[in-house]
Amino acid sequence: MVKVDRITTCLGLMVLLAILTGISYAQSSYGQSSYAQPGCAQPMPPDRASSPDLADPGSSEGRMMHKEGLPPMGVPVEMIVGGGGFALQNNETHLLRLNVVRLSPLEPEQIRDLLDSNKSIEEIRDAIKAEEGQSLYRGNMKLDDVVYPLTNIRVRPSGDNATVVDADLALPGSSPTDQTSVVGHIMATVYLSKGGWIGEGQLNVNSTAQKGSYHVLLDMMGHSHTKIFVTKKESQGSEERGVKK
Amino acid sequence: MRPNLRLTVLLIMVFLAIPFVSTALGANGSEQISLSIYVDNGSTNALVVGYMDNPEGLPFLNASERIYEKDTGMLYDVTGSLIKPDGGSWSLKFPLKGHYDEYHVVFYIPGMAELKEMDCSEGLEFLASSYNNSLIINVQGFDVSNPEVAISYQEPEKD
Repeated sequence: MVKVDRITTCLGLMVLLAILTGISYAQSSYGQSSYAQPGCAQPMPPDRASSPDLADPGSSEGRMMHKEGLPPMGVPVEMIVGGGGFALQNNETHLLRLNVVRLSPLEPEQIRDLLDSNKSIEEIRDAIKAEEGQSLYRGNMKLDDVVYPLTNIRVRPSGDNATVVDADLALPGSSPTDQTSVVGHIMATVYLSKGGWIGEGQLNVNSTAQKGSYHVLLDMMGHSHTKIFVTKKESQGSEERGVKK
Repeated sequence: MRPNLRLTVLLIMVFLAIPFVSTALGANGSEQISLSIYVDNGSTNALVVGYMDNPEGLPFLNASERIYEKDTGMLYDVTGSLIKPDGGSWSLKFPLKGHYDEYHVVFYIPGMAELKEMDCSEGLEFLASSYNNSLIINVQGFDVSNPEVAISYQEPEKD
């Protein structure tokens, strides 16, 4: 009976420790994003707000920039890859999120013409989908708490039910249109398997504190559940981890 | 304490621990949103178009004309609930309910509008620029809860 009491007490303490660990991890693991700011409330000085050629470096939360400094613009028409999960490096786990959206290159004035044309929402949707022209892609990758804008994004089919996403990583905080700020590369193949989307690929980070080669594993269950596991390659070889399906 | 009671308490603690551990392990679904919002000329109408995992976070959907494609997650919505005249200016508010692992919304305001005030909830960052007769405000954030954007702008006086 005394032994059962001790076992029960030990189990209770372990459960309590698991609760406390879960609370502290949930509060700290995602909380240090490079985009984390205490809000961007600020009145805009009239002279700066109306002067698009004047970049305002005064605030870390919001900036006025040239159009070239903004991510690619257009109407989002398809989520190519989206989601996040855990990653492993030298037996440790790294968090990686990959997000790529396909954009229709419609100009804002074209969209407003649709609004002014009294078309139904179905007609507006069909007009957006029917727009011909070269699609644009916009995306980013988040490795642990560092966000890398994606540039030179290329998406192409590969065989049956497979899509290859190939992109360069831009320096965190830089414009994705700045070709001189490329600090890495990611290529991942996503394909349909047994009712869900899975994939894998390769990530190389060259010029930041996260420098290294990573093996990327994706496990997406529908467009709202994506888990990406990243294993950093050992210098002597690679260590692969299985994906729980 | 009786062993049976102690075991019962232990089991209750185990069930209470599951959601916390699951949260730490990232077992919760990830919510994403990638929208473009086009404000109409001189009216309160706006077209909301783009991708989101769950449209229930948009409180204005019930009062507007919209399409949500469940298989693709694409939303198409024309609404007059986001924008209100505010004296000589316009006030745009875009609140969302829920937690978003990734949040990216771009606002296109017509004409050479003057941005008067910008207010974002915690975790959001914005970039603003004028381009091709539009004021473009790009708002982005990660791991944000109940994100809200409030924009005050003034259209130029017509000649």
